Amino acid sequence: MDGRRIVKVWRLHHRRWVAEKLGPDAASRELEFTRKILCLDAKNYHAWSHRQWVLQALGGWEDELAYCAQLLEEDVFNNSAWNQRYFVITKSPFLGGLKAMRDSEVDYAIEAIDANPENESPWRYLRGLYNDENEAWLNDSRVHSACLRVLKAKRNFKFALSSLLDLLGLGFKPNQEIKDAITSLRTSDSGEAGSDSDLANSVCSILGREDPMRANYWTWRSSKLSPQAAEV
Amino acid sequence: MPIGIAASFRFAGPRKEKKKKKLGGARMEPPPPPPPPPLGTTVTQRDQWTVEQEVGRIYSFFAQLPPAAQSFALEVQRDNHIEYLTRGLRGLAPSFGSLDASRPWICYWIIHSLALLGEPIDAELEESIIDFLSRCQDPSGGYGGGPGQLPHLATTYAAVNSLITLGGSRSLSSINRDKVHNFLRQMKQPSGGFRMHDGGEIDVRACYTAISVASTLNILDDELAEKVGDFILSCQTYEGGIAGEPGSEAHGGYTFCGLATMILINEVDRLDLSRLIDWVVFRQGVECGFQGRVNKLVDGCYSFWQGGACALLQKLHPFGLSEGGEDESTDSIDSSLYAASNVSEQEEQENNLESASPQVDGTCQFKQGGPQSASCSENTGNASYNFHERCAEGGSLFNSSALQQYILLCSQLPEGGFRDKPGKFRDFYHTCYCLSGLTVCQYSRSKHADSPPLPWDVVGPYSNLLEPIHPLHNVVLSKYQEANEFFAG
Repeated sequence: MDGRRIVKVWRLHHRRWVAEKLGPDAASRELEFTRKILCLDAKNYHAWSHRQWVLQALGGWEDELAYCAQLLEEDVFNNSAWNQRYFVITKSPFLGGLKAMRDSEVDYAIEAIDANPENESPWRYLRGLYNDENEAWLNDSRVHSACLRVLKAKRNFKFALSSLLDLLGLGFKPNQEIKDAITSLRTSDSGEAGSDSDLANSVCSILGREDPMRANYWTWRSSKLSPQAAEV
Repeated sequence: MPIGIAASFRFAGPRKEKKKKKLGGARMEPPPPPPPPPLGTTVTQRDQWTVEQEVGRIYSFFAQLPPAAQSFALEVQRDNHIEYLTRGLRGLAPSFGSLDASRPWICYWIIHSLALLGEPIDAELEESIIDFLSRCQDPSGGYGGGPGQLPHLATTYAAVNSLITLGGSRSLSSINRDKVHNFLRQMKQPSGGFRMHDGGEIDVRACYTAISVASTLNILDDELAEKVGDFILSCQTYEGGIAGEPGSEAHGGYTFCGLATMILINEVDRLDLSRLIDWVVFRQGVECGFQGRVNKLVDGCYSFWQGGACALLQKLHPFGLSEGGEDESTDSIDSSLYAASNVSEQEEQENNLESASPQVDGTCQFKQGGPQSASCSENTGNASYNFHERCAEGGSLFNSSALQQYILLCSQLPEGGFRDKPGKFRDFYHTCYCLSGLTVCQYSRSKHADSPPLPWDVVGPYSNLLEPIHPLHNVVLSKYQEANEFFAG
């Protein structure tokens, strides 16, 4: 909201107006223009929204998924590129939509998670692939297997635990391996329960310890657990 | 966090914020000496590492100071901020070359900051500001960036909020509500959203500025509110946060704007609130401040955009456990609204809770009789007026003491003003939003919107306490209340 940003947005909006007048031929030129900005500043918010406008209004989708892959190759932590990837897989007329793309995208996200479990982007992306389809998310074994791998490594497992907590809240029934992995992260703190029936509460306690910045949030999550989720 | 430096920041603040803090703020452990950045890191990781080093240096230096020096370091440097701000306000007249389009914004940033610090503005200066803003008013409605400039929603928001903050009948009566209403109607789009200006962009910020202004001026009607909710809903992303436009990335500024707007039009329960909450709380990082987006850098201004969003969310969900230790089950938003138990009797009469929603109630006299109808106040703006009355139960959703620490130690400049992060320069925008974030923190656990916080909710000396704000409009609460009465007719 500072002055320079107001000017930038206006200029990009003016480009839209011009591009609209010039028609579909403007697509590749506008995409090239945003590519140049993103080369210098790969997360520039207005360049990305202009790029999305160009794709939807003028086309040029063919190379966009590859472009996202390239940016993520350069910086897998670039959340704007992950967001663009989501945009492409859901909206591109060449790709068949979210459901058609989901399977390969789950693999893609999990590969990124395995490489850098501390990277929040692929975790949110993975969750986003399932959106409201909770059953499908619960039943995709790749998801909880990924969580398990991260837990077993005992480093950077905050998002893995958080995902498990979300899963448990939706009725996920973890196998013994997952239960053991969670148990092994407990300490003898009084805050962490000793019995199976409090698995979700355990997860909250561990998170309260490992992620103290969000201590209040984990306490609140704990208080929101349904009896169904708590008893595992 | 990209690099394992995170462990070194382990913020050892008390988990249960009810514990009384010593003067000198929360305890921290000084980080071990920083390792060099690992090989093969990405731009994001390197940038993050650099900021963590810088912030870590500040915190570790602070940690080894004696208590008296710590106390001083945590003080809000009122006099210096006031001087910085006042000089800025006086300097507005001849000014500011490239920011010419934004003078109402600078007015708001400065005036609001001074109001938060409880500093009145000199009468003569106040008059010249009112005159200046009046000249920014377009003959057919709305405020532009400067005299003779075309009206713009953002500058209208800034001008109106400035005038409300100045207060008094001269200031408030200078606003031509009929014409503002016309301007808002012109900016309204068939899709439900609003355009920033004629031929301008349609986004969530435009929606917020329009609806916030409509609400504070008591001209919010069904026509303006129609389908705004649909548009904002389409801007909630797969991450949980809200973007500027459908498809864009979840972003703190737009998340605040979208959330506040939904609350104002009484449609907040249409958002996926649990995903929203989850996204927002994870924006507070090891540096203790907030980032605007996933894997981006901390910035002091998000103290308000993200911290403020958390403050709003707290009021929607019963947050934390009740005193009896009973589980607070998730109420519907409606029952939470009507359970706001501390509305005074007089307020209850003035604001009929049964018809809080401008959409539910079709008898808003504004549509029939124009904005001067007194009874309109019963119907429009209720969502706004009553919202700040709600109790935030229990603890705060975000880590309030950590955020205050970031604002005071990393953003505050002892010589006056606030900045994005160490290494950046101060400016009025960051001064405004860091102070706004600070007051949000201070009042984040207050049972009532303006009841004084307990000493341990204020990091640093208690004299750090700022004025409370209306969390939906970011205007000092007492000024909002004055305007609310004034525009009720």
